Formats: sequence, structure tokens, C-alpha cells
Amino acid sequence: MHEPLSPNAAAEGTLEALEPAFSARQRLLRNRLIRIMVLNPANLLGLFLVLLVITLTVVGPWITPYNPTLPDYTAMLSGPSTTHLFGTDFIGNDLFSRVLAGARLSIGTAAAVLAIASVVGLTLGAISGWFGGWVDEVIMRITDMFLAFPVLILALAVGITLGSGLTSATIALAVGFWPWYTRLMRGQVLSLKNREYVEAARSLGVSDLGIVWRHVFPNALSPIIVELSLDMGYAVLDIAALSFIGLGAQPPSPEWGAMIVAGKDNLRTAWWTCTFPGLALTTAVLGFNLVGDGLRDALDPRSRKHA
Amino acid sequence: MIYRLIARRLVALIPVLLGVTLITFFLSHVVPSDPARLYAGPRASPEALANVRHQFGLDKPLATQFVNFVGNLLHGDFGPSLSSHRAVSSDIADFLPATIELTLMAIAIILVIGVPLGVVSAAWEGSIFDHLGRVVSITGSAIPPFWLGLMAQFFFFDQLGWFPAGGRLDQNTAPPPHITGLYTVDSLLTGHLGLFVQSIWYLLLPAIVLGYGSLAVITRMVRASMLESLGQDYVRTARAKGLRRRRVVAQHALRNALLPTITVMGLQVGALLSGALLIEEVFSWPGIGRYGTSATLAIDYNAIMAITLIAALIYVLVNLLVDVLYLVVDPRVAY
Repeated sequence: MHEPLSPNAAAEGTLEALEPAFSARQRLLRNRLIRIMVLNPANLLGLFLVLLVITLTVVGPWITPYNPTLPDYTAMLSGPSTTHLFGTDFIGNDLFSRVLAGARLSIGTAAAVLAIASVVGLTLGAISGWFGGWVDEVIMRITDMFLAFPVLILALAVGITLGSGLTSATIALAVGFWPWYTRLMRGQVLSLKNREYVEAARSLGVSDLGIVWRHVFPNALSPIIVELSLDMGYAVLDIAALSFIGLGAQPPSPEWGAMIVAGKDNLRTAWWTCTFPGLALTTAVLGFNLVGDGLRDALDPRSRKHA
Repeated sequence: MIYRLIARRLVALIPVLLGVTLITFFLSHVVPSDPARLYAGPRASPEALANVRHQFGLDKPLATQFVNFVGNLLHGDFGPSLSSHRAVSSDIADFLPATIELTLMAIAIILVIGVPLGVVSAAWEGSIFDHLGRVVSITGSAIPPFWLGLMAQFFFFDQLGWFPAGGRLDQNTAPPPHITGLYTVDSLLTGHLGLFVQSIWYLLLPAIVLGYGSLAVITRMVRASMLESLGQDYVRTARAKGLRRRRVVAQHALRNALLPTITVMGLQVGALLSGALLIEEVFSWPGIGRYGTSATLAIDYNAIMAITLIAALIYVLVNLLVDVLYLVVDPRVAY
């Protein structure tokens, strides 16, 4: 983002001074954040799990012992052992390698869902809150329509029009998630837009976009971060759920939900086929939820509801 | 007074319902590059395609198509199902009661376990119940429901044999005479006590699995709002008056803590409807969730759009009901 055109540098300095001791507040917030995240054992566990999952997502391809989609027909459905840590599936794929490879698919897809949903949602919310009037009215009515659907069911309806596959599952879920961000951002803009520093910026001739981007957005960041980290868990779960229904990733993809589908018919004789991908899913979601809760306690005491 | 408020909420519902219909129409008639091809199948001849297009009015302008779509909906006509070759509306009529029964059972379990657990973990912070409540609320929102279902089936059916694997009744048992379609209610109404017990038995495992995620939310919610109301002045006053702690918890604090819980429970109905899609498939539960999964595999458009519309309708109406209930329970709220 470029510096917005300002009449003079001195006035910009005054503007910085008007923002309620922004840097001092940030420092305070950061200290509080570190204290809450590190001192609470649940949050610390969450932080550890999230870092673990992200690390595996990044380094996964280099540490998988076997090719996750190259079956070994001599070792079908063999139980967990030292050669196959999590056992093998019904065509002899190494499940440990598949679970590792799945991290990249699940986490990557969930991140893509939230990236799309938040960019669309936050933009619409900012427009809605900033301009008000009929623009606000129209955007909020549309948001209400989308909020009338349970998220996964709306995703199913969108997903079936787009066809199966992770890309269409990503779009389908983003369609379900964006309204929450619109509401959130609108509320933030409404509460911030009459602050003194915003008026000061306006009187200095800073453009609308400049004010929203440089003065409103940074101050609205905490609740957005909390929302994103809590939604990450939901997104990971919903991606797996779509794969389970038959949209989303298709077997033999090592996406965790698709792995559970592929393993469920063998569950009775080979418990490991479903158990390990499910545990991986649970671990990842648990991590994101705990971190989200911790961040919420630290940054935004108000709770939220998710259907 | 209250009737006027309800009427106003009902009027406000109209644009939302219209919007829901519009989105569904958009998804079924506009987004797919050629809806006729989806109806006719990939190998249909051009003549067959034109035929389908004409038969479903897909050759008319979009506005006309939308009017027809809404008109059909008002008659309860969702078109034919590709997978069952019957009218989608009669499929839904057959499958909906099973889902309603499962969802109601899940809600009952959530309230019967979640509310007391939340209350006790707030009243006795740090006790064993508090820890149990914390375990439920942390695991409930992290465990994928369909995986929990598979695991529950593996342990309680395959390994222990305590519960049936799935279905609504034993395969050799005839269902009770059809009155409401809810086997528990119908068997009680017709005096088949054995059937009643059996249908509860078949309901328990899928209902617990379906409700577990929402149980976590409710437990956490009740605990938080109990803690908040236990810190209020009127609770301190009641205690200072010499009332026993147990009575203060049960009467003064709980009553106020339950209010937000009603709203959250209404919102959880959305999660339960989504969850039914997954859980019914796992437990071979013949409801609209399982109908939805098989329709997904068959790319059965009409069925999916009907399920989507009905789920949104139920969700919106339940939340309207919740708002009205709130109004009745808490006279302080002015809308």
C-alpha cells in the first residue's frame, strides 16, 4: 500500500499523536498476549500443536518415508509396525506418509478458504460500514440471506454445482464463511469511523481508502485475527466433511477426510486405516481452537457464535 | 404487544426466505453451464436435451424460470429426483421424520447433559465436574463428527456389542403404524412398548455422536454465563440474605444464565442439520442427511436444492421461535 497523499508531514505527525498511544497500547497488548499464550497450559499446548502441524505441512514432503500414493501390493492392510508406523491401507499405501502428505492438503485448503472468505468479507464489510445508507442496506440484506443457511449445507449446494475436487470445495466453503467477516468488519468500521483520529485524517484530506486501510483496519485487526484462528479449525473440519460426503478430495488423494472415507469399509478388520487420519484431523483442529481461544482471551473478550 | 412483535418478525422473514430461494435458484439454474445437460445426463442426444430443456421450461427467460421455480415451491413441488426416480417432495416426506427424530433426541441429550454439566462446573470450579466439562468442551469442537461416529461404531458395536451398528430398528422388526413418522412417538401412541425401547436403543448412539459438538458448545456457554451471573450483585445479595448456596445457584443464577443458552441452542440447530448429513451416512440412518449424501454421489440436483431450502427454512424458523421464546422468558428484552 502506498502512502496516502498528505498535505504535510507535520500534520501526519499530529495524526499519529492522536491515535490513542498506538505504539504504547500495542506493546501492552503484546505483553499481555505473550503472558496469556505462554502461561496458560492449554494455550501453550495449542501453540505447540499449531506449530507442529505447520512445520509438518512445510517439511512434510521431505520426511515422508514412502511415496504416499505408490501402493505396495505385498503389504496391504498391514498393521502399525516399525516399517509402517501407522500401518498400510487396503492397497498397501503407507499411512504415515499419507497422513503427513495430508497435512499439506488439509491445512493448505483451509487457509485458502479463509483467505478468500476474509478478503471478500472484510472488503464488503468495510464498504458497508464506511458508506452506510443504501449500500450498507443492500450488502447487509445479502449477508443475511447467506447466513440463513447452515454453512456445510450451503457448501454442499455450491459444491454440487461446481463439481467435486478440492478447488470447488474451497470455493464452496468460502461462500459459507464470508458473511461472518462482513458482519465483523462492518461492526468494527462503525465503531471506529467516528473516532478522533479518523476525523483528523479526513480533515487532512486523506482518501477514504487511505483512512480505512491505514487507520481503521489496523485498529480492527485483533478481532479479525481471533476470528481467523477460530475459523481455521472449522475450515479444516468442513473440508474433511465435504470429502467425506463425496465432494472435495477424492480417493486416492491423501486428504484426511478422503482417507477416512477410503478406510471406513476396512475399519472392522484394520482399525488403523481410519484412526490415524482422524487423530491427525483432531490434533490439528484442537491446536487451532486452543490458540483461537487463547487469542480471544487476550485480544477480544467478547465471545461469538458459529452455526 | 407481543403478537405485534411476532408479526413484525414474521414480516422481516419474507425477504430472507425470498433471498434463500433466489440463491438456490441461482445455484440450480444459473451457475451450471447447462442445467439441462445435468438433468439429461452426459450422453444425451441433442434432441433429448432440447426435450428436457422444454419439459422443465429451461428454454424460457430466466425471470420466467424464477417465477415458475417459486410457483412450484409454493406447491411443494421440487421436481423429480434423479436418484430415486420419484418426486423429490415424496422422498423428503419419507425421510424427514427420521432426521427430525434424530435431531430432537440429540437436542434432548445436549440439554439433559450439557446444562447440568455447565452449571456444576461453574458452581464448583476446579472440581472433577469442571475438568470433565472442560474435556467435553475441548474435544467436542475438535473431533470430526463423522470420525467420532465411525469410532463409536467400532467400539460400541464391533468390540463391545452394546449398541446396534445403525438403522432405526432391527431389520426383522416392523415399524410402528405411521402417525407422525417418529418411531418413538408412534410406538408410544399405539402402545408398542417393546418397539419404543428398541427405537430409543437405536437412536442413542447416533444422537450422542450428532450432538457431541453442540454439547461442547452448550456446556461451555452455560458454564461461562453461570460464572458471570454468580458474580452479579443480586447473587451476593441473596447469599448475604442467608440463602443457601445451592438455592442461589439453582434459582437466582441459573435462571439468568439460561437465557443466552436458548439463543445459542437455536444457532446450534444449524450445526445439527449439517451434522445429520455426515452422521446419518455413518449409521445408515434413513433420513434426509443420508438422502443428501446419496444425492450428492448421483449429482441429483433437485434433491440437493430441496434439502438446502428445507434446512435453511428449518434453521430460520427455529431461530425465530428462539427469539420469541426469549421475549416470553425475559420481559426486559425490547425488540
